[in-house]
Amino acid sequence: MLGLGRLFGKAAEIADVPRQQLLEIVQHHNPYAVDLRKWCVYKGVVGICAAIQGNMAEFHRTNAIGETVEILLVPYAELRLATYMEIPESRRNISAVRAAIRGYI
Amino acid sequence: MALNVPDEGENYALEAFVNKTPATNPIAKLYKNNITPSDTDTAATFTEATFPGYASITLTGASWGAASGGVITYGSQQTWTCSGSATDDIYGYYIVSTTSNKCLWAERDASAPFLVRNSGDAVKLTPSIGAN
Repeated sequence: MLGLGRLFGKAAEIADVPRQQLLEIVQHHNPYAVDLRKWCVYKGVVGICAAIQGNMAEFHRTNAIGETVEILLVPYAELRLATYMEIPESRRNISAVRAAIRGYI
Repeated sequence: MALNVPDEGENYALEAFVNKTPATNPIAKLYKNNITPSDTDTAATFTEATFPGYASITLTGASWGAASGGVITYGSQQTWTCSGSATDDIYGYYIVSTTSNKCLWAERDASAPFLVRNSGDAVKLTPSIGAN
């Protein structure tokens, strides 16, 4: 499909959005939104978003082998999706490609 | 606690939905490793309970109630009763398919763990799943 820019003979204009801002936009909107049962990172530690209650999320912090070691109530907006490599190895179970489709990029 | 349908459970449901792979009776199991289910899990993620008297339970198709409001519930409560001394800490349950052993869904108990220590200790579950 031709973009409007190409159709009218000029380069398309793309807004200059900082990468971090773009990531936050992407990760809080489907299909890459932080949601129930998704692997997330909160303040540098990896875990699973187990429940969402209003603006807060129940975050189950995990250890290196994917076991739950702590349950925290944290601001939902401060969660981001984990990357594929941040998910504990024993809990990955899906290919990097499939993980990317699920937002673990 | 939210119920979790992992990736392999979604694929199983889709294939059953279009009759590519006929559905089979699901099997309910308890797990004893400290796991919060996630979308990347498989049946191998969970460590099945081993306390005396424990056995997985087959949930027969005819025993489910009619689906209503996007929810279907098993007709009766299922109970696992310990018949001796044990050391299992039960964190939740998971449901697998009979033939392929795919994890269809799993749920961690909100008040986990449940300590199974003595004869007579029992874990009860009424299986239910929603599609909303």
